Amino acid sequence: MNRIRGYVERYERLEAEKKDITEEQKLVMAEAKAAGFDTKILKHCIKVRTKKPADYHEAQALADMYLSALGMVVEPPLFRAANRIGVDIAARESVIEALKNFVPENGSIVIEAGGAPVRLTRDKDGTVTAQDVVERPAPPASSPASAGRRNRVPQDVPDVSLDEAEALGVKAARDNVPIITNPFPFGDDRRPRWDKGWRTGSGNGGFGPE
Amino acid sequence: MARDDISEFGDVFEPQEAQEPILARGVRAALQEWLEEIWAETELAAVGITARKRAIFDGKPGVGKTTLAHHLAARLGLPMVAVRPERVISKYVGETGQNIGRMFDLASNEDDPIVLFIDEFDALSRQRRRGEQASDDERNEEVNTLLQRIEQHKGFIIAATNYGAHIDQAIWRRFDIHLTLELPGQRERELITARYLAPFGLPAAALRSIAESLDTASPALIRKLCEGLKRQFILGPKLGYDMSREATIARTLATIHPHPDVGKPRLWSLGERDSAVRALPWPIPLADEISASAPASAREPAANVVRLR
Repeated sequence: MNRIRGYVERYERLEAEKKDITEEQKLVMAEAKAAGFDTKILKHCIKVRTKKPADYHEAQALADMYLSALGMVVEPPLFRAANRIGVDIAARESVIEALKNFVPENGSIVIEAGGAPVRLTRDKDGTVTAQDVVERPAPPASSPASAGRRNRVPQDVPDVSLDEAEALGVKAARDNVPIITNPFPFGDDRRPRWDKGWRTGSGNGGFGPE
Repeated sequence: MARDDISEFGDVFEPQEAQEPILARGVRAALQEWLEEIWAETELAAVGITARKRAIFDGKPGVGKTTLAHHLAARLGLPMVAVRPERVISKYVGETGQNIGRMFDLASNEDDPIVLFIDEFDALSRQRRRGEQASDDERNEEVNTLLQRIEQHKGFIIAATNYGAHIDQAIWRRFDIHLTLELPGQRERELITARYLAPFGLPAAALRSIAESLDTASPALIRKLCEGLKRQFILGPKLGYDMSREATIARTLATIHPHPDVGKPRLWSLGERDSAVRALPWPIPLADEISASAPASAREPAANVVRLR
């Protein structure tokens, strides 16, 4: 009997203390309000302080991004950040100086400021250099590998009649030349004739030895 | 232009790189017929039919489906684009279908014809199923796209699969030519062994017995074996290995095996104790030496040494 009473009374006491504490918290807020502070913002700050800094920054960055996507932020986050570090974004030199901090290690970024592109490069030692980008002539339309394929040397197509093509095929077979070296391109009527000649000359169908 | 882009979906094989396949008689005739048909396109058009342009090769792994497709393309004088399924299949819903569409768009450029070769075709054309899961719906969409595009495609398509049974029936029907490639027979095995053993060669009797011991082996396996032997001939002495007949064969067989499911040829069951191994001349001579030193009675080349062009 006594044990149960003990538990209940202890719980009730704590409940009362909780009430007192809540009252005191309200008093603190009232005091702050009387001193002219915005209690909503104060409460927000208290909430932020309970979070891990990394979590908070991530959430903040995401919120910035979403808001700017929704068109609710006049100034993109990067510019706001630049403003915070005291950069005059209207002046080319100061923008370049500020952006030097963002150059990745062993990498470079190209910005267009004041009408001319500038490449900022961070070398191995970590020093950043700015260089005007010189427009290079556009690379040829195709890469070398594919060019090799497309511009492969066209085989010499002999200028012969159908019958002569067949005779060439016979000769090729006797000279032990593989059947796939047929010199006539796809769609040329002489190609089948050469193939036929080769088969006659070799005595097999061209699908390997019989 | 098209081929620069289509190489995004597969590898381009030029005609000059093709090899002669080694085929059984029935398949040989069917293929010759197909080639003639393609070449007779204008005559066929006059009687209102078109040449068949879509073939599907079905056969166990390593029977030479790719070699054959490449050879056919080379005979036609066209490059072959071997489609890589992993470059077509996408993890995103709908993108596989899109890729299939783009691939066919690129392949049907009439100025730059190609033979489209789709290996492991079952990867793209699984049987459609009643949609029980979202993934089934997606797969059905892909198969439908493939179905339409194959039907409309004007160029050459050769598909190859190890599992004919897994291919959707409607797609199977869209192919005009169905060809099952079997494992090579005794005669084909002799030719394949001779080809891949070159420049070494075997007298006819030894070749016959070794081909018998390789019964049920695929061309790819025979090739591996021959290449393994040649490797041993070159590397064995450098490594100070025992170069006796039995030891060399045992070392070669140790690292080359048929797939457990396809059955073991006798050579692998008996190993270096196989009678075919005892019949091998040792060291294996060069092919040219055999024909010169053969007895006069057997100097008829066709009967004694298999020569390959």
